[in-house]
Amino acid sequence: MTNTMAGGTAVEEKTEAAAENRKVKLEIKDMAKKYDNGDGVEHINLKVYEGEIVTFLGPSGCGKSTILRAIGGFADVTSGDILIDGKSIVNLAPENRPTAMVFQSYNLWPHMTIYENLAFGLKLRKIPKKTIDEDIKKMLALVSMSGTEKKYPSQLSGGQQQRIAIARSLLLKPSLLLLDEPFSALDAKIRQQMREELKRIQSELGITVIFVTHDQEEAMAISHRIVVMNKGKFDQVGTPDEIYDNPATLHVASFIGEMNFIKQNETTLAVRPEDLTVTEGQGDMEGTVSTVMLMGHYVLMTAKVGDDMVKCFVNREIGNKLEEGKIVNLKIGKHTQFPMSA
Amino acid sequence: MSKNLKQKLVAYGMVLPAFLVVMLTVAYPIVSAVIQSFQDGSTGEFTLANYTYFFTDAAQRSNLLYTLYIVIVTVVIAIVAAYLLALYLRFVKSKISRAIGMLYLLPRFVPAMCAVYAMITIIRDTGLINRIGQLFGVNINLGMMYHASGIITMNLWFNIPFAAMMIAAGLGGIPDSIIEAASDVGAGKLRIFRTMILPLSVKDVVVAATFVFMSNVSSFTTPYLMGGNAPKMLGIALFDQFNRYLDYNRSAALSVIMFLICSVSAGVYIYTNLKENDWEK
Amino acid sequence: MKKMKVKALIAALMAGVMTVGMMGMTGCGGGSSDSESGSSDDKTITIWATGSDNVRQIYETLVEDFNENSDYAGEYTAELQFMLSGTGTQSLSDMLAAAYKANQTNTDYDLVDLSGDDLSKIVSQIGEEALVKLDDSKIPNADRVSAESTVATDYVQPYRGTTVVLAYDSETVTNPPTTMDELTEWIKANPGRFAYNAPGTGGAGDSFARTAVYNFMPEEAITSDDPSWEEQWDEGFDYLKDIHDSMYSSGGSIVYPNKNQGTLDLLNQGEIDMCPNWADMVLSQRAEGTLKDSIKITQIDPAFTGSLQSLAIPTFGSNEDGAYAFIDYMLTDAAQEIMVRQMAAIPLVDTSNIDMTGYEDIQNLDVNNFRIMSIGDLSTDFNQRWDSEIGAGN
Repeated sequence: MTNTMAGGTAVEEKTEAAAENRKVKLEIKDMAKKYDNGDGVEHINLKVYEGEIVTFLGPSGCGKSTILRAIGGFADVTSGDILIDGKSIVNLAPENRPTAMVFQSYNLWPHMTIYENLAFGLKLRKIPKKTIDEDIKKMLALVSMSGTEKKYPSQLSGGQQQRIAIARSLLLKPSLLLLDEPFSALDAKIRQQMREELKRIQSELGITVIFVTHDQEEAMAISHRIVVMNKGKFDQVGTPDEIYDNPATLHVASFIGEMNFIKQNETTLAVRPEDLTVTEGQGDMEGTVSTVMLMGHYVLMTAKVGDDMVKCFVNREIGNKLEEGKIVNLKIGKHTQFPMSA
Repeated sequence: MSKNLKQKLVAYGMVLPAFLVVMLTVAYPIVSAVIQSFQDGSTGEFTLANYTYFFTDAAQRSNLLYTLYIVIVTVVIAIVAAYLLALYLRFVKSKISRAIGMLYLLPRFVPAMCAVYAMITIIRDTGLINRIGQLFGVNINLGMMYHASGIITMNLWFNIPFAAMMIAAGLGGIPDSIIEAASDVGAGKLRIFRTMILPLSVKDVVVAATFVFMSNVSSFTTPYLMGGNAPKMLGIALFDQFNRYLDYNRSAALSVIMFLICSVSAGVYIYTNLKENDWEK
Repeated sequence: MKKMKVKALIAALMAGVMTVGMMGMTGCGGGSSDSESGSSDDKTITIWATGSDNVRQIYETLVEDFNENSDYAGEYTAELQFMLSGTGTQSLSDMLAAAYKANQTNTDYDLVDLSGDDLSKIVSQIGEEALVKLDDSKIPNADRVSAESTVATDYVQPYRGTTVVLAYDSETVTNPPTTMDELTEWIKANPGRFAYNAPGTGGAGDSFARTAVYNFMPEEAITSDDPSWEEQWDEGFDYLKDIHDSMYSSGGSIVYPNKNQGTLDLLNQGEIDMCPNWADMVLSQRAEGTLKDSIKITQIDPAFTGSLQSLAIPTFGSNEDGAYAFIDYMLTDAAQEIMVRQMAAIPLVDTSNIDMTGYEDIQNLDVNNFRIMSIGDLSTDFNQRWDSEIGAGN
């Protein structure tokens, strides 16, 4: 199966066609945000549907946070429009937008108890105290933080603080929940747990979420759709599967998951390590085994093909037969082909 | 001699010079001044007269009240102005604010004497402001020289940058996300100030206020060059007792009184610094 | 957390205290550099002087001129030891008293420069016998000087004078007062246009207030420290109260500025038209251009007080002949002219051979008419009474 692609348009169209009957929650129309130093984003077009988790993924400085901050109202747009439920919000101050944002860190107000943190926004909306108390109780249960009302943020761990921050945002029943790398300050194990938690809460409430991260694994795990960004532009918009299987650009191919790049004639073949197989019979090319590492239920083999190193995931049965310096036949399975110049 | 004992002796030996210097230059003068303040100048007997003088003599009492008046007005205006300046520098990002941010500490580098004379040439009745007025045919006599308003103006010149620097450091420690999060849940600017910025910076404000208070209670150069003959600030009153009347016992008593006034402020400072709010534990 | 903060606080305090302490220690050490060393040879004369920086400058010029141009050039070499006043170190008179009391001999205190006050202090601390009784035959130029010190007359040689005068702006005052009565009349006729600095903050104000009071008292009172004279101050203080309302005012109240320079600034700025001040301060600042040219000086009758600056040879010095030579030099036309032109000093010799251009005002000041005031410790009581009755009398 060979899939040659010049850009992401085909995939995008396909996705949109499938979702045509769904309600558009957020629409960004030809938005640009330029900073004085020339950095920024431009020609941003995107539709986000109700109940979706859409992730902006890209290296730091790619402009993903800029878009999020523009949606939240913390950065003015230079041109273009942002609509939520069909209404333009670009002229509204953050406090008047139907969005809620969770930041990377220092979300909670350190001088207020957890209860006060959670109640602050509700009190501003003149909600009766009894309702506030009930809502907070329910919300704390939802984020598994019951009984922490009287504590101060500094008495909680980083993961617990982010749960409270998410709870605080959710309490305001926002149209759109914006999360700006909310888990990046947490350690790996907690991060894993928080992703599952967020996904559970999102599906329970059916809320629309925009998530920003530079961690492709996190993006793959959490998103319905991923927007892969590079240098202020969208490289590809699609479901995790589409992006993993059919990367639209070399950048996407290299950024998401492990990928081998094999030069052949005038083209570069992008092959996942699991799609490059060692075969006893006729292969597509020969390689010299460089290392063999047991990774648990599979074996990681690296081999030298010409001047390039390739990675290969093989099962243990084949792995046991491999040894350094041995010449093996490699067969290329599913792959994407890019022109050499790309 | 055990090794442990030896080490101890070495340690004490190293501390000793500093300890002696402190005792000799700080503790001894303080103790002797306190003793002297309770002694009669000629007989050396115990008396409270040196203290009662400063609270019963009409001129001295008005000196005391005058000093407190100037210091408190200075503290209030300086802190309010410095707070506004610090807020501006922290939250407004523009070329002007960056320029002010670089320049506002300059007054701290101008020697006090030069600054006072510079101010005098501006505010005196024949000074710059008067001369500018003359160009437009108005005779502006500010009457600020030899008057409390002149001293307060000068104090503000010295203290606003200093207080702003301290408060700005405190405001700098408040992360943007705290303010953005508040704005995000629907708080307007005033409410963010009242519920977020103020509680998170009040400690620095109090500390700055105590510093301004203490440094002005005993100020000398400004009131000496810009103050009138009566009432006088305590620094000048002390100079009179010591250098002009040569009354060392009353000088000592007045020093103790000034020390006590400052120690109220020092107490507030130490309390605020050592006290931790619930949320800081 | 709490402990850390306390510790940090204490550490900071200790560090501060130590720094101050150390500086104090070095300060003490530096001050007591004893002058036991003595002169290296009989050619060197060490001259000790004290005062503000302009005194240091004039002495440096004089010492250089003595070493290079005077009749004694080559014969003796003068060296200056100068102590800036107001720097908190031991005063020169204290050092001399200490050296004398310690029975030191052959020190390098060869020649000392003394103001009237310093001289009174030394005489009261250690007596005039600590100074060499001057042999006029060794000071040929002494004949040219008629002024005499009122204290220790035979033991010191006056070499320059200075006096408090009435300084006025000739642009606004065309006809300056010549007597105290005329001055009083002028003050009352021109309220807010006269000021004198608060007594105790500068000699000009001292002089004005004291002469105003002592003008109502017998002649001998002005040179006496007998406390019984205080009873007769009332009339004079009534006079000061009487003119109080006509003094300079600012911000709605009467003001007596601090320091001599305070009133001089007001005069120069045109906020007042007249004030008492030191002749040398006014003239030298006028020559430097910091005062307007229209500022002039005049003396009234009875005069304000003045004083003579003198040289004396301590008995415990080591180069008496050299000291005599320097005294003699100081009375030459050349040295006197340097003093006139550099500090507007009042020369004590006949000025016909001295270039007085620009300093003509000085010529009218006759040192022989100087009123010398020495009321000793009474001045403390005087200042206190002035503060409570006049200064605080708003």
